[in-house]
Amino acid sequence: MNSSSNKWVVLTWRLPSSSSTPRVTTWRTLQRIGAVLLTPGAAVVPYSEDLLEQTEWLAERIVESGGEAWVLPVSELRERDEAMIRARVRSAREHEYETLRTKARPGLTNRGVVALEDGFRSVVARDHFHAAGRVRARRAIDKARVQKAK
Amino acid sequence: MLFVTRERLHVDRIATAWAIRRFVDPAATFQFVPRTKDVDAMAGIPFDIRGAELSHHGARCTFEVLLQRHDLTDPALGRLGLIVRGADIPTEDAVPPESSGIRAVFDGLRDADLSDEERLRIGSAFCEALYAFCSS
Repeated sequence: MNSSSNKWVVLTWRLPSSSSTPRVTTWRTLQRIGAVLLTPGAAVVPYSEDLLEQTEWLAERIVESGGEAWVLPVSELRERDEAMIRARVRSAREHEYETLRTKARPGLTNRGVVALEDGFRSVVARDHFHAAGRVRARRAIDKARVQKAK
Repeated sequence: MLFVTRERLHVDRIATAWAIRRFVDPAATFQFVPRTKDVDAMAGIPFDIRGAELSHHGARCTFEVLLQRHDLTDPALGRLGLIVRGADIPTEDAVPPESSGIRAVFDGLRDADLSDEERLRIGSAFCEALYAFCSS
């Protein structure tokens, strides 16, 4: 890999105003990969080979829907901008961990506990900067597993 | 036939190359290029490269597009296609349970200190095994 100097991947895009399905797909994909929306039509994720790839395929879907998209790996941003992006990723994940934690109550069914595990796994996958709530959510789900209904 | 794809192979490119050799052209050869390379002027048929005909279209991954383009209608390949799609694009809806494990294996294969020829050889054996699993 010669791209080790990249730190971020920026996606800029524009969709035709008529298209609501691609808009939803785009928004949902960005949410699932843990992207931060910078402005309408611009989002950023930390650089990794995988996130670059996921972003490229999202860009391709936008283009296929009649839109325009650019995928821009960048080396570094201003320190305060990087801090802001990290804080926003962490804050979004804290909120998701907190939701999982409040759902992890005693007496859940086995299915309910498995759903929490699935949810936890997908939040961890987009927890790019290790939000503190991860440990609390992990403990709460472990406890719910011990205290589940039979 | 000569085919061209991006280097540092992962599941969709390996499964596609495996299926090309297995079902389309046993003598197919493959060339691997950096992701930034403009393949339009190259001799081979590009796949799993943005803008190529043999690449992702909509929610479908390249492997599924290959099946469709070559009328490969074996249901086992269709099942394998859904697993490959889920392993390649984990943010898709309704990812089969096999996909996350397959993804882990191919993440490791990509990151191992191997040439792409070796990745293709090892990954093709995985695809053959998965195909047997999907056929059973």
